[in-house]
Amino acid sequence: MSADQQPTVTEDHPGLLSRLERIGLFAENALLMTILASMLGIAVWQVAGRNFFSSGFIWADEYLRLAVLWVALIGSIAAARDHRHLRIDLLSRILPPKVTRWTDFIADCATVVVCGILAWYSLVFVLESHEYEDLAFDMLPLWWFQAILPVGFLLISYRYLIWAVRRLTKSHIATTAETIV
Amino acid sequence: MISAIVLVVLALLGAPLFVIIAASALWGFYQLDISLTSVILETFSIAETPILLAIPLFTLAGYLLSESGAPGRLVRFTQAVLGWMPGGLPIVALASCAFFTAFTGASGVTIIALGAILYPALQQSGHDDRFNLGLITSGGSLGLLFAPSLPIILYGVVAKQPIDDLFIAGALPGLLMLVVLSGYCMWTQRRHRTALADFSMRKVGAALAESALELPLPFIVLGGIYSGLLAVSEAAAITAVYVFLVEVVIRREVKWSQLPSIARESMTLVGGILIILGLSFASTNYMIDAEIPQKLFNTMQGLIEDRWSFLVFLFLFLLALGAILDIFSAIVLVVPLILPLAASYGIDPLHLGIIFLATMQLGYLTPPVGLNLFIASYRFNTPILQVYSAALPFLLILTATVLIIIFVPQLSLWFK
Repeated sequence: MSADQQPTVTEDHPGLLSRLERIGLFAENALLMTILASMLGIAVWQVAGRNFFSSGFIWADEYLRLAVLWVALIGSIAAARDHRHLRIDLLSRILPPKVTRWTDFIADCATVVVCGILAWYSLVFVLESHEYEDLAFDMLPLWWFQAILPVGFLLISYRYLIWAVRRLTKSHIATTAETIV
Repeated sequence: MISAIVLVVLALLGAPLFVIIAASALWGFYQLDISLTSVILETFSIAETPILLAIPLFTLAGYLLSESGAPGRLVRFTQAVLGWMPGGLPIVALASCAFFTAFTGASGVTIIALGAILYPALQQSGHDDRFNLGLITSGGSLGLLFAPSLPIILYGVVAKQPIDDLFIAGALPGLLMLVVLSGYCMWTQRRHRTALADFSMRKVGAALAESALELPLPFIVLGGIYSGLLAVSEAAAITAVYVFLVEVVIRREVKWSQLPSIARESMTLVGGILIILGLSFASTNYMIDAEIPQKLFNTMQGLIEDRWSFLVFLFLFLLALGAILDIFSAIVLVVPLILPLAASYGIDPLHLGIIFLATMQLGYLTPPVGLNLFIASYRFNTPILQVYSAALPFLLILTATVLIIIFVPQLSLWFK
């Protein structure tokens, strides 16, 4: 996983779709930066508070825990965009691209379906939480923070749908190099 | 049964592992007539496990370091201190790789960040290419057992073991690997002694001054944790903020404009790991409900009688696993299954963790699909078969070391 690899902005959608792609990419990066920055700030403040003023903030712990969930989901959306979710890439290393195109297509379709199901049950989960009026930080509806689950799984499903379509429409896409490094 | 086969086939076709885990959890819960929202409820436990905070923060720190000039300074510092030894530069390479991998979590970043500096240096000083290639390839996963490596933290989370104990348990086995490989380098490269500069306090001083800002890092992590001042996740936060201040604000080697792509790169890996972990909370729960560990246990009891045969079996199993699965997925998927099994053969969970990680580390170098082999082949533009043969002597030596780690539990458990 090379650190200098730029995220792939896809150029194959004309007009509106390509603009959506760019907005999506920007949103992912901006959210990741904001959440990471807030995590660092709050975590360090928390350490200072605990060691020097012997006081911590309960809401800070809760914030940090929810932030990890958000980073996990947004990181997963980013990984889906770049087709870099951890997987067994045994076949893609030994089979010719002509064949892996189809194995990848099947794998991508399965991902679309499973993530779609996860998105649906996440939505049910969030709606239930909304109904029970669970609270975060003793004042905000918890479901606001849980909403990243259905949104995340839906977007991952969408990204893999695009990958699946690309396998059909493009003669050859190498995802091998990017999954190796 | 058919559903299991479908899942295995999909996994082999290259479907993301979190999808396989999710599908098995969904299917399992459906069979048991449990509402499928439970899968999501379990996944939500990502937000109820405070220690997980350490994972994104240490990873961010590692990626920031790898984009700065720190790898170069680290190599120069180690060279000033260790370069005078016979086989000096290779030992420098091993030591800096180990240090760096501890911070970057062994995801191939080491080979890319350090290989670019070490490989040409090794070539210049006249070591032969085959040796250099093998050295860098095997160095890329060395250091996995040192704090604060990501796989150790993940094992601690999954196996519910104290992470500070795991950090101590990994220290001697990690050092053993380092020392044995260094010995091998000293022996095979003994003629290269003159190619390197002599030891001089002035050089050490200069290297010290140059690296002055990075050198406190291990002390912050280890000192903070073992003095009891910092919890592991707090040490991660301090480390990340410290690295940020040093490399971005003070040294300005990492530009502000690079930050979005560094954040994205590192969190792509973190997201990939955490989503697998989250969904495995659900699948593990299902497995326990369906008494799968118990069934596995009963089968194994009939086949394997004593602890030593179990350890041999475990070693072979993990070796095969390491050749096809990355270390993170392997921990999340397999540890819940083998933990009760190993306990029944009297193996300490801390020792099991070290066995697990050390053996999986070999998987990075095992042909045909070891990850480091591919990264090295890609990075140094060398045919994969050449990389296989270059890495082979190192793989054999490491294998012998891992067997020692497995059969001498005191190496991991001396402090208990």
